[in-house]
Amino acid sequence: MNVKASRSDAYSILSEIKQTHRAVVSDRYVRHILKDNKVDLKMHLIDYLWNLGIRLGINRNNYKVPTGLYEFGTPSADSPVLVTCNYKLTFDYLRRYLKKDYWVLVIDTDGVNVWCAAGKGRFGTLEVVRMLLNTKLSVNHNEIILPQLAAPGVESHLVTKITKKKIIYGPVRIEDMDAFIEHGITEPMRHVTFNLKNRLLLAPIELISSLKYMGAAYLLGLLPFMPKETFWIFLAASAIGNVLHPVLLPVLPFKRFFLNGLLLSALLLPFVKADVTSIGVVMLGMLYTSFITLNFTGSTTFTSLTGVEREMSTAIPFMLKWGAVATLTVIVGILMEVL
Amino acid sequence: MKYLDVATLSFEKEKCIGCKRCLEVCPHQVFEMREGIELSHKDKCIECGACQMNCPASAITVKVGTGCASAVIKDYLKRFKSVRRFLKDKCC
Ligand code: SF4
Ligand code: SF4
Repeated sequence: MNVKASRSDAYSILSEIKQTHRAVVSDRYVRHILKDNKVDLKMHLIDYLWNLGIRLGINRNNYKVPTGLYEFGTPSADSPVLVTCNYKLTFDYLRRYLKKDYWVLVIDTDGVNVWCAAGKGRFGTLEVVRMLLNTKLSVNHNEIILPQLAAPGVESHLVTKITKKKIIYGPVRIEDMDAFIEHGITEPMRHVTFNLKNRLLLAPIELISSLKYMGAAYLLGLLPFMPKETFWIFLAASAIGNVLHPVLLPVLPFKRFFLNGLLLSALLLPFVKADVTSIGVVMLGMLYTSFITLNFTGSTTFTSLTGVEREMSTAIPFMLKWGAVATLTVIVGILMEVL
Repeated sequence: MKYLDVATLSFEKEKCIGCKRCLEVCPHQVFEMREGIELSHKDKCIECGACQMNCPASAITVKVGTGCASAVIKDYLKRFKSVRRFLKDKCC
């Protein structure tokens, strides 16, 4: 969703805190790793299974950790205090990568990851202040470390003004946290990168969600006069858009995503047979690939809203025309077969 | 990787108090410390709004949003009441 986090002032924050009642979250997903508030850092099979389920899109809206202060390792009064979201997948990243001792304050972001919750304002000034005011920290320092990716939602100077805590933004990746505590920040810790693994992270879920359209493509292929390959054309179109495009992204020539998609979808051209209908169906497949790649703007780390709006102002009219021509071609092809 | 260079980011140097918070929060190193803060790589800005939110001097303005085509389409469709209930908020 667009444009949610907005600047506020101390007075409105404090008066809103009085009105907010947050839902109680069950400890179902963390019960097995908790002893009081001490967290077992060893990942268990059940954690991996649940995480795999989430990656495949099962039960995505309810994967939450109850809010509160947790002990990672054996923290003392000198140990750093980290704040994080209540998405269990994120919590597991902390379990896997934090090797030193920490206090970890989990705040209510509705089970949404740090970056997305910050963009919506859920990982925001209000929630951070609320949790800091409601949590008794027994530490002898005044520093709170927030994830750098929470910054779009949090006005750090306002949090400081209300809670008197010093806010420090930690590294982008939790893997760097121990090094950050030990040696301080380095440039690369602040960079958001987009490597092959990041780019392919969403491919499985996208492929699976495209399967429902494959059913439609299969049925379409059963109709009289439709090419028998219809199903394969759309399956290939989905694979090109969801897998090949993310892999090749850094070397593709255009800045506009839909053009790159169109370029790659030329791989579908061998499906064109002697009949006119197959040309139309392949054109529809190309359109599908192009649309998938346009949507990939949302999965990248380097696109802006203004940029996407600019791309869409050319992409959408173009796609509508392309789709109309493709559909007409299919119809003409069928008519030619019939007559 | 860079995207279209159209970001709405602007920076008023006179207001800046040099706290360097923007250097700390920006995920794409758009700002740089030379003689004072400089807006050096505007073309890399993704309009996340982190700098604007965290600048105590209100020296930075940017139109905040997510660079996501399906979110833009959804926001457009939400204007129509009849389709609104069919839209699920799956991601950000
Ligand atoms: S955050 Fe604002 S005041 Fe601080 S250095 Fe950046 S522009 Fe200047
Ligand atoms: S809006 Fe985000 S990406 Fe752009 S300059 Fe500010 S912090 Fe950097």
